[in-house]
Amino acid sequence: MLTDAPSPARAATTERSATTERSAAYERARAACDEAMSAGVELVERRFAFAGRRVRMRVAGHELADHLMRPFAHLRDDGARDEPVALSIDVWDERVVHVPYPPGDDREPDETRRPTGHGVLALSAATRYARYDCNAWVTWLDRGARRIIGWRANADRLSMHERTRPLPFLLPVWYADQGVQVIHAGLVARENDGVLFCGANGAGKSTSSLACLCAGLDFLSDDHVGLEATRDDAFVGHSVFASTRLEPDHLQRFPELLPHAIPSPEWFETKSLILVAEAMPERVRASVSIRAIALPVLGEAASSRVRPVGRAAALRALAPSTLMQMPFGATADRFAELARLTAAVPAFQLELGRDVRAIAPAVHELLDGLA
Amino acid sequence: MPGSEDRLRANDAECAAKVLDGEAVIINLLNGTYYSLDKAGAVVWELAASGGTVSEIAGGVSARYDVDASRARQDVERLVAELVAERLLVPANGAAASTADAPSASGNGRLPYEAPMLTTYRDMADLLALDPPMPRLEDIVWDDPSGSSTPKS
Repeated sequence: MLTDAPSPARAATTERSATTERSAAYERARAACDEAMSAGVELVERRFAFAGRRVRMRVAGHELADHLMRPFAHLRDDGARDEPVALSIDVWDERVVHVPYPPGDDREPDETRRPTGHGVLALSAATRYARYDCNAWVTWLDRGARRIIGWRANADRLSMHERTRPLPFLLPVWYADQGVQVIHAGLVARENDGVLFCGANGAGKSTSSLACLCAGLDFLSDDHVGLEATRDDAFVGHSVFASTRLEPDHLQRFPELLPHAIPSPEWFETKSLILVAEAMPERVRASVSIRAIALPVLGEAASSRVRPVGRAAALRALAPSTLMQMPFGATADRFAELARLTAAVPAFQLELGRDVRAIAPAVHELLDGLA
Repeated sequence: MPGSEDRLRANDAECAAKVLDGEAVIINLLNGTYYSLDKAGAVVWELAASGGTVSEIAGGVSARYDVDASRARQDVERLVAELVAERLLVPANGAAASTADAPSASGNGRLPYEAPMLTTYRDMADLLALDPPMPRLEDIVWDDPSGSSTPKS
């Protein structure tokens, strides 16, 4: 780790001052963003419901708007334009608007930084501001104002990663502030009964989720799910993005998705983008009740099978990859919520057969057994 | 290694744990290593994490499982030493042991005994050695400037 966690003494100080913290670098970026928004050049404004919370997104630049908004297409909510929002997102494309990112060093002396993905993730001393920057983009989250602002030098060069999961690393922090923990899992549903696919990378979450999608089940995600506890100790799973990226050999297993594959313009990126909300809009859901946890494991048999497993096994499959792969570290509270989830819903091992078409029948069998 | 009458507690600053269906799942929140203890091991964890001494834990194990006191003590000492070495348990100052929700013997009989074993999973820690998480982001509730609750659709 490049930088150490704040000392207890500093943490106590910063916690008290968190809501009043100010960042000169953020203010410079915000002023530029406001200028770009007010320029009125190719300004696209949409309303969404993220985990049921109203969100306003404004993007200056049609191509950039296209890239950033399509993964959220299933969360569009244009009904109440004058209502207050829980999050404002403003992003501009400099190539279109001709408002540059303001000069100056964004780094505060007491912020925490570390390399993340292709950029650097930074957290201000009192944790009000989070920033993610690469060479040609910067995104800020002001947790106090519940606002994300972003600059992109050129939408034409936006990474496939962001075209799949816009606003990386910072959106999960906003979700956490709303009481919604973004977990590392896939989620499909039959009517309102959701089955969560948990496990480390390569366990079969995407294969299971996409096989169910292609077989007619409802789809929410193959990788990231917003988890929210309800007042009656039940859990709701929210779709964060309805998009995925697949390697060519993986994509071949889902012929229904092949016509919708968007290849990367970059020679080094072999994965294709699938915007599920556009490919199969009738099968994409925003939120469902989580009724079961399935732990995919790769098997050798032709067909897929389900069998009950202990709740501790589900917690072992879910908690480490969720807690440790989120950008800002793990806390006991988040672990406790995952433990409550695994205690509340039954868990099953889903042994994946060689034939992906056999996965959905096994999930139907699992759901039938819950009735 | 703590003495037989030294009280222990879970290292809450660095780990989180939950016992489900008689299995303790413990995770080191700093490096992602996670652990499992079942049967008598879960009893050891619950008693140790809640302020027990080695003597009390060994007594709890031999009360629930079909094992003599000296063998139980030997196994508990070994396991506690492992848990301390992994920084999952730390010395406690004066905390009294609480009654753990551990499996009880059926009728007057005691449960069959197997020496408790700590299972360690370092796959996540190995992954994070290359890509560690940021320092934890404590949950800070942001004041809504308008004074209203978070709007939902």
